[in-house]
Amino acid sequence: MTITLSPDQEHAVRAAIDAGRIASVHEFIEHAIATLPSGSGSVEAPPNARTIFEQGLGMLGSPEDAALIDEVVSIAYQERRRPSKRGAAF
Amino acid sequence: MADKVILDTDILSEYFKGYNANVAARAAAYVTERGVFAFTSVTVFEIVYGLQVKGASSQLAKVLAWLDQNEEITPVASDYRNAATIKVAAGRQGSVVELPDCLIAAIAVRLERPLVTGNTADFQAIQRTGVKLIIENWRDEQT
Repeated sequence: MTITLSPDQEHAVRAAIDAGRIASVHEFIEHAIATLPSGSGSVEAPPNARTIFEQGLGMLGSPEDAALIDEVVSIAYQERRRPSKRGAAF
Repeated sequence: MADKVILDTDILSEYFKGYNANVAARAAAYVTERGVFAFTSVTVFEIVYGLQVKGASSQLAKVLAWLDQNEEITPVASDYRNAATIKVAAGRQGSVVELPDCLIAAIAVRLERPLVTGNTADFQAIQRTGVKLIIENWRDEQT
């Protein structure tokens, strides 16, 4: 089978290799196959696919953790809205 | 089948809290169809940064373990270029949008995925530049 990647996709794979997140194109393909959605026949579904929702929902649901993650979002969105030191003139 | 979407930081945090029934219901419906959630590396940065600033190492470990099971979308070179274009276009319309929002929008547009966010005002400013950005807010009841 021949797979043709778009320039962006090829760049993304090369960048992942350069960054050390994957070792090779071969490893990339193995990883891609491992993450195929269920129902493809010969490939097993990811082992935790059914429980990902349960694992994440309410993970930070205690009052302390909820306040914490609210603060994290607040910090993030303050940073997003912080204007550049020197705004460009449009 | 529902379109693949990208979750923004505020919606992901709402899901982690589990308090909002609309977010929980829509997340459940989505993951049943799609298997995993997707978010950008911008969101991962924001969560890791915030939890580290707060010294919340145990919460960070839990969140990272969950994030690793889902889809993190890393920006590519063209996303940065398109983010710059978005920022300039928004600025010419009088809206100040910074790199994180521009980058998230550029990724969503490239992948043709709706962005799920409660931060609608900032992303509507980006929509007004003419980019094909679709916004969903899972805090709203599904119609």
